[in-house]
Amino acid sequence: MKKLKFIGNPLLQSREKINMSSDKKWLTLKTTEDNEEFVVEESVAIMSNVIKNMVEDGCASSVIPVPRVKGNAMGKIIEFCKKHTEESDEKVLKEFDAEFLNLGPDALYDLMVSANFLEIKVLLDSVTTKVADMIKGKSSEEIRNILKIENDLSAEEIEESRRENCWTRQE
Amino acid sequence: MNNLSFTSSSELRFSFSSEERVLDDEDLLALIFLRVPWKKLMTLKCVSKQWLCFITSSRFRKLLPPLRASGLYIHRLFKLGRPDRLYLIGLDNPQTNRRIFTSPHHSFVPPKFRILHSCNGLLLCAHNTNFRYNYYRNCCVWNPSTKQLDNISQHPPGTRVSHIGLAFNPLKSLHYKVIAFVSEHGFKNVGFIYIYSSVTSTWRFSVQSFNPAPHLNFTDGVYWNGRVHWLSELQDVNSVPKSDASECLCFNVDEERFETFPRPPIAVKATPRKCLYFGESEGHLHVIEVFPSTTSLKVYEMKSDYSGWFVKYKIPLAPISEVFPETTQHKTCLPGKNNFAVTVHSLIRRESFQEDPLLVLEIPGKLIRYNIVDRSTKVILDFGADFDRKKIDYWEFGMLKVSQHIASL
Repeated sequence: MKKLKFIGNPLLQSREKINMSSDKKWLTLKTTEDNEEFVVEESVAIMSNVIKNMVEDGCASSVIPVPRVKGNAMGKIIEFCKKHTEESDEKVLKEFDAEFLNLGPDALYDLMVSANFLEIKVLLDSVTTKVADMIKGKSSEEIRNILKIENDLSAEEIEESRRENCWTRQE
Repeated sequence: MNNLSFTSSSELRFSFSSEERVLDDEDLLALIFLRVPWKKLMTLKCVSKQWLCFITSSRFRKLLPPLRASGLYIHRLFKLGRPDRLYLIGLDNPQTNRRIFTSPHHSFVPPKFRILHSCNGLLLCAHNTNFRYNYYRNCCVWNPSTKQLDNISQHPPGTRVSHIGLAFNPLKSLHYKVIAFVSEHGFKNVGFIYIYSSVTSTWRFSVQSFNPAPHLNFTDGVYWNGRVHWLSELQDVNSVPKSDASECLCFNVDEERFETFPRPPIAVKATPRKCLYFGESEGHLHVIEVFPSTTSLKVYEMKSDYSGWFVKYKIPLAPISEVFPETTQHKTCLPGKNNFAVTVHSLIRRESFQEDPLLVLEIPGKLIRYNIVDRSTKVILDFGADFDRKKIDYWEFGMLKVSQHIASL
């Protein structure tokens, strides 16, 4: 069994040594924005519906170009998919996800956009739930601070939206 | 790669091209917002223009789950029309989930009130008024979920308010309207529609009714499909031309005009009838008639394109009488005949929540809930717990008013 070094993804390299056995299929994903390459097991890569469709349609030959996803986001996504293909214990996965998603809003946003683009339902659900939890109990001011959103509503607009929604006003 | 469209995991379609970047953000926002409790969505509206725009868009509203009737408001009226206590009882756990409003000093319940009409979670109440006549001077609109009370300080002009009711669909808009049909003194069949809008907080004249046939009277209106529907009962089949007989009146609230809809297969007025239920649940319009000789209830539902009515359920009453024998011992049950003393108060569908439809029935001394699919019953309210047999056999029907309690999520 050969042990190969993979260029471009320090994450995978430092984590473990990958065994190249003949009955496992491997794919190379290349992020076109920053030209990073990731070699991934097919079983892990097809957690993305987009990649799955490409594989099934026979278009996944040598290198799959992935636009719009940056290298570091890709690395994290692969880490997530790997864990979820290997582990079946719900509890372990839950703990992993909580730890994994302990990121700032920018990183979460990148992850969310990428997961959406690549159609990885499990990841998208986890990230959107995490973001929802983050904003659930906060005031609008706090939300703006956390997510770094500019306040472009005038005082009148805020007042009007409050008046309009007297029926679902918070107690 | 740029112009391929991908389906997102939540079945929202959008394509990834650079021009439509804004759209993708909104789809992702939708995924997040749908995981936030509905009440908290109002905070989110104050975050930024984009968020405000999106949350109020009909595109987002369509993604919100439908409203669920979780309980019932039950009023027991006394002879003079003065209501007794108001109960709010959960449909799922009636024994444990109940509340009684008796004190007039409850902070959010107006004193001496009475529920006139309910619509998708809002209740139109009258208080401090002369209950004997249809003279609703002091109305208010009450949202029990948010405990919001809106007094309608004015009242529609004219003296005889034949019908007053709410038009409210929170999935379309957070504003409500109150529709009043006011007849002119002395002219029973010519009337005017007045609309009160929560936006302007005033009444305004809308349309004058065309001359309806003499037998038309407005019972409770049901708001469904953007229109208020009234069932009119024919005096007898032969008294009107065929064309009038086949149609009932409804009022299109948004376009402010009268329209007609097919009459359901109900009997003429003279037929001795126990009850006529006309109501709405989760986007379905139902009619149920109960006669003294009824042995199974036929539930008619209106087709969504208004082309006609069809029988949705046929519910035999015998299984209910096996659990509740008092339904066959009531004074109105003729000996030797298969009569059941049952009236219908509500039909709650619940299919959108993958649950069984429920019928809310009044039987002597009790209000029960009947599961149409598995035929199980549950007592919602037992009035006659302390009654002796005779009192139950002489139970007076028609003294209860039941409205659906639809909680905001």
